[in-house]
Amino acid sequence: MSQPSQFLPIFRHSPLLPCPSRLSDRFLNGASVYLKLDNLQPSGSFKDRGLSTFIAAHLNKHNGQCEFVSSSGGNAGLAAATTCHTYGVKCTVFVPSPTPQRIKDRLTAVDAKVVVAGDMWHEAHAALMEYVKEKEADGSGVKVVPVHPFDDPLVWKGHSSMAREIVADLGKMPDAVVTVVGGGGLLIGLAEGFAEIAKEKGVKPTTLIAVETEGAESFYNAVNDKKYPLDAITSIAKSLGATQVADRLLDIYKEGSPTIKPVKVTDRDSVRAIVDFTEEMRMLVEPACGAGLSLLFSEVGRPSLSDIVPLSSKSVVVFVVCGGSTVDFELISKWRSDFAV
Amino acid sequence: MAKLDEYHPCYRHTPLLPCPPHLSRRYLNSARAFFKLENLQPSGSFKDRGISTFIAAHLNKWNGQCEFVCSSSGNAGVAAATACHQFHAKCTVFVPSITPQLTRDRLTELGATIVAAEGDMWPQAHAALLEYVKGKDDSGVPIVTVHPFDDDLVWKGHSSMAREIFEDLGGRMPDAVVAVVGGGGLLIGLADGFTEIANENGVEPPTLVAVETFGAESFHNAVNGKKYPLDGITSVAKSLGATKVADRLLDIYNNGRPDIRSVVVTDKDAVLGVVKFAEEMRMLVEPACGAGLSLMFSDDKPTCLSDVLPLGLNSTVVFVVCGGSSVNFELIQKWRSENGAWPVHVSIT
Repeated sequence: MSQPSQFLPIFRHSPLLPCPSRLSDRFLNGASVYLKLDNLQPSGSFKDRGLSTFIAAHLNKHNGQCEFVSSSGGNAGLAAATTCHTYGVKCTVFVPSPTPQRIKDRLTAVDAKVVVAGDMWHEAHAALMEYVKEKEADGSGVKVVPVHPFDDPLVWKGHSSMAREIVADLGKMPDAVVTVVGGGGLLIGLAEGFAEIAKEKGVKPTTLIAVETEGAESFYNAVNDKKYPLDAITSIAKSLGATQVADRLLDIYKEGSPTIKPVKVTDRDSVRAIVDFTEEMRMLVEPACGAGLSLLFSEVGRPSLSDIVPLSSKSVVVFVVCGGSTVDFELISKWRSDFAV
Repeated sequence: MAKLDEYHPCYRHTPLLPCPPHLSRRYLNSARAFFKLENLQPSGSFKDRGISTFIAAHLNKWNGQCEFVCSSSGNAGVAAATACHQFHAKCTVFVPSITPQLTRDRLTELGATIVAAEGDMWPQAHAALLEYVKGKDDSGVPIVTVHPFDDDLVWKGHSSMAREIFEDLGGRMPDAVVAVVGGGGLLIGLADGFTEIANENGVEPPTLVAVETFGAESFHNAVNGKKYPLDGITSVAKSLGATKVADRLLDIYNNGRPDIRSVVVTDKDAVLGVVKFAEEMRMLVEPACGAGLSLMFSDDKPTCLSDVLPLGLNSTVVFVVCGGSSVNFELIQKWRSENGAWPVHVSIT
């Protein structure tokens, strides 16, 4: 029988890879640029940080006697399933029917139970809630824990580990960290993490550049008094597809420290960045991840990071390579053709 | 003015990434498997280890006052150019005519001068280099030839990989290490490195699985009494394109320690390895590198790792992901369509 604190999060201290200097010379005024390779996390994205922290905490609380449920047919579902597989505990993932077969196969490969429910996320989520209610009523005593993809303090705590790793590897606070925003879980984790470190060291926290795509710009709209929540997600960056962000993010933004700068890019920028990043680094990322990386590969007529924060050869910038599995060669061909990239 | 010992090799301690357990369960009988991610080296391949070690040593010897020349099918030249760019040293690269435009562009961007030899094989590029070196005036700056694989310093640099693997496994030796063989530089480095560690620790070095492709199987032929050197390279895995290996590799093989197993796969296997690895791990490598990885993705394939050594829960295997620059979307789509359709995903029932 498991003891308390026996379950530990499964995420890794990912590499902070220096970016080839010629990229930075070309676009970023010679700043030192680093890539935080969270695509190398166990399930393929940074989600492992927050979600395995959440799952481990609940397993420790219930002595290993619980099962987990998720309504994500994306990276959060994969992270939850991968974590549960590592611990040998049950995970059920409720997904809407358009979820790609490849993702369902990945979930099954890590022993998750996949239940296809409805055509849209909210129907899958309703099925999840139904299941939770049924299990509570059946008297088996097994606790069923829903794993929220982004809106939970344990998830934020797990994600905040990224900030600590970055500062440890650099030996100092970076000047800017570029990340993307779906529901805001990662951004909250980074903000909290860097704020804590800043206080410990008596320095100013880094500036967080919060990138979204047009068609998934919930955070941007919230802080710019535009339509919020969004009516729908129309961007191809499905992993950014939250029509509203966690409320905590809006509180952090208002507090003003660390400075958070919301930036919007287009789907075309994201696809262009996927292609450029593959050419440079030979690693495949999703459009959601490409959105942030698009600020690394600027071109005339597109926003550049040096427009958003002052950059010089003394600056240190980190791009979070959040990773993600919802990309394959067929999709990339399609997107390249759709966006003429 | 540069001082002695100012130049240090510019390779990195790369991640030893655990293979996702579900892949190991499916393909490797649940062996503990790892990917040594040399694709994350500065120039994109393990070559940075040996080549930057060599270049740094010579710059230290000449107080920074020398220039470098290299003959290469790509990655060694890129590694040489990368190191020289870092050290502000002059680099001229002689390449066979088959060298892809991608690689040529990268070399130019790194400040190297490219000379395309007449002929599409490495020996011809190397002959052109030797002509150039002979023809230069003796009174000028010393010209140092960077051999892509046949040099003590190159092997020493590559051997650093063995120590990293040993340390990252918690001071334990893997049971097997899978690497590919072009001229044999990497394999020599691994053999030397693991043998040294084995002697220090009183353990046995791992079995080295030396993978080549048909059409570039120089090592296999040498140790099996077949045609050697090869007449030409007919494999798509151009980075394995050495018609003969460094003699030292054959000495090591004949010594019998470490145990070296020669395996040959087809181009189709190599490309399968590239595509499957890209689909599962979202990292793109060249066919040369894919050849080694193909031993893992063994569905419906004649050659797989379990043919070579026993695999199970108690085995630890490291796949060297050597990397390489000559790959992109277009090439992958081309290889996928040329080699016929295999399932993009396999439904699990």
